[in-house]
Amino acid sequence: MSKKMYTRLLRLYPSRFRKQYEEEAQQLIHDRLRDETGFFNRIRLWLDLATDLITGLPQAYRNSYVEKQVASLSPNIEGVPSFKVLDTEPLRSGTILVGGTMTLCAIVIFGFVLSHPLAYGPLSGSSKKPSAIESVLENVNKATLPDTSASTTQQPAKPASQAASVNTPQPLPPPPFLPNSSNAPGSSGVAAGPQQAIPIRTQSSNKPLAYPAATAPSAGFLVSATPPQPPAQINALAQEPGTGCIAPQLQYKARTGTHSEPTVSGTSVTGACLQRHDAAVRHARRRMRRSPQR
Amino acid sequence: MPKRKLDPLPSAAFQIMLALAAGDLHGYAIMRQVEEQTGGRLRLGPGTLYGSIQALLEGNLVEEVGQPEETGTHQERRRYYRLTTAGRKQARAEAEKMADTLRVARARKILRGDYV
Repeated sequence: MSKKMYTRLLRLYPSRFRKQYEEEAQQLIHDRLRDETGFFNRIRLWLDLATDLITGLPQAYRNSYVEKQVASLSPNIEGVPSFKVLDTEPLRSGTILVGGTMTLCAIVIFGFVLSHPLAYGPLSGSSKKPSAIESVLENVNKATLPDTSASTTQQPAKPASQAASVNTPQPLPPPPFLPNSSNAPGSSGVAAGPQQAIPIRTQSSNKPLAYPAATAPSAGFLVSATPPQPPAQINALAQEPGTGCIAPQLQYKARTGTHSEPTVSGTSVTGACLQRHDAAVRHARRRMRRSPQR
Repeated sequence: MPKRKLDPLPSAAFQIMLALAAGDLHGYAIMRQVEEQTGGRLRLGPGTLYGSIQALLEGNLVEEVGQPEETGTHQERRRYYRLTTAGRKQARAEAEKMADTLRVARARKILRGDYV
C-alpha cells in the first residue's frame, strides 16, 4: 500500500530522474518500511517523504541527467576516427514543438524582409556628416568624377616642355601639357574628342602620359565619360591643406625618377588632385633649376 | 554554461560526501550513515538523496562503482558510489571553511565549553 502510494508520488519527478533512480528509490522505501516499524516511526517516515518531496523535487528538476560517456575520437580498427553519440535519447515532443515554431518564425521573418526592400541608411553610430572616404566613394558610385582635362583635349596640342613652362600652380587650371596622341613624343596614345584622358607622369620618360578613358586601367585611374563637373566635396578635399586627395583604394604613386627631384606619392588620380600635384612638382622643379644658377 | 548547483555546497551533498569518505556505499547505506553522523537530525529521503547524488555525479565529485563481490551474490542489485579525488578535495575545503567559522564562533564565545 505504502509502496504503491510512493510509486505514484514518484511520477511528480522528471522522467529522466525516474528512469535513472526509480528502482533505487523504491528499494530505499522498501528498506525503510522494513526497518522502521511502529506507528510513530511510520508517521515520521511519511513526514520525511513529504519534506523530501518539497525539498528534493526542485533539485531533481535542476539536474541535467546527462549520461557520462567518453567522447573521443578514438580510431577504430581501420584507423579511421569515429564519433560517439552522447545522447541516445530521442528528442522530446516539447523540444520538437519549440524548435519547429522558432524555425517557422525565422522563415516568415526572412520572407517578410525579402519582400520589403529596405532603404539605405547610414551606419549606426556614424555622424550625419559623411567622412572623406564615404564622400569619395559616393562620387565614385555616381560615376561623375572631376576631370577638367576634357576642355584641354579640345585645345590644340602643344609640346610637353612648352606646356610645363606655361602652367601655373594657383589657381588650378586645366592641364595644358596634355599631349595629343598624334604628335606627342613619349605618350602611349590619347583618344581625343569625347573621351577624356588623365595625364600621368611616367618614371622613365618624365613626360606626361595619358590614357584614353576606354583603355585606362581601372586600378590606378579614375576616368569619367560624363561631362567634367568636379564634385565640390572632392575639390574641397583636394584643396584642403594637409589633407590631400583621399581615396585609398585608388591610390597612385607618381614618382619622378631621380632621387634629387621631388616626389609625389600616395595621391589619388582624380582630375583636380592630379593637377594640383603636377603643378607642385613643376613648381619644385623650377625652383631646383633656378637654385644652381644662383 | 554549466549550472553551478554545488556552489555553495548544499548541506545534504556535504553530508553524503562525508559519508562516502569512509568507503563505498549504496543509497540506503548513505542515508543511514548521514542519519548517524548528524545525530538523527538529517534523514535523507529518496528525492533529496538521489538528486544530490546526481548533482555530485555531474560535478565529478562522486563516481559510481561496481557492486562489491561479497555482497552481490545474495543481495539485490544496488548501485555503489565512491568519493573521487576532486570530491575529497572539495569536502576538505568545505570542512576547513566550517572550521574557520567554528574558530570565529569560539573567539566570539558563542559556543560553550562542550564544543571546544
